[in-house]
Amino acid sequence: MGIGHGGIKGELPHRGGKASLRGTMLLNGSYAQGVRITVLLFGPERDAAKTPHVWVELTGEKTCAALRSALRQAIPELQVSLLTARFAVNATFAPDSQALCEGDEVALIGMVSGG
Amino acid sequence: MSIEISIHDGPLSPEPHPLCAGKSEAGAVLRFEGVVRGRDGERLIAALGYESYEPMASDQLRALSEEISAKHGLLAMRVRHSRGRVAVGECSFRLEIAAKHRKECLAAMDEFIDRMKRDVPIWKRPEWTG
Repeated sequence: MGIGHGGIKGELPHRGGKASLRGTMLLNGSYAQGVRITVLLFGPERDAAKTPHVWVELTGEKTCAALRSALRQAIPELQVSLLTARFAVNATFAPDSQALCEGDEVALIGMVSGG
Repeated sequence: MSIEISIHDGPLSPEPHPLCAGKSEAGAVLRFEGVVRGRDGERLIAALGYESYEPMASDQLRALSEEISAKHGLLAMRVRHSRGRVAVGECSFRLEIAAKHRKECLAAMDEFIDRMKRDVPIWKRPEWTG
């Protein structure tokens, strides 16, 4: 799905610790039918997006592939990372075909650098 | 077979107990320590800041340890990793492996580190000097 089928919003921390909304919108007005997904960001992806997490409302296809597409459109700073980054759903790596459910915790895992 | 995994705040302290104590069948014990380098190309580094995604990082370290242990027939593994700030010269990662023979020990060490750098959600961020 594209962003036209759903919406995305998240927090962008301010210097004073308050949060404001990033991104925007629900374009098709079907908010109530969507699933709300928290996407955690780490490392280079967190730096690029300037936020530790975003919330995504998927109202069409509810899969990791749809989430990838929605993030790509809503956060241009993540476009390069999203070409290769993996998703973890509830702390387990997941293929793009995996279905997402309300309340799932999803992490975007880009290039890691432990050691 | 014993496997020990842990993630610690700050730099790693020396191990108080040797790996595989009392296991008379071990013919090789290998230890690798990752230490924070003070330079990245031309730029000087004061420290590295590590962040991990828990519990996934620990779960991945354990799953990887179990897989590598089974594949190479290891006797014991101990994995330590830092999170938070680790200054130049300090240890941020330690992997110890015990096996019957040198070859499986060396192969397991190399494979584990390669896989960890691909599949374990831990990130580091340099703290530059000046």
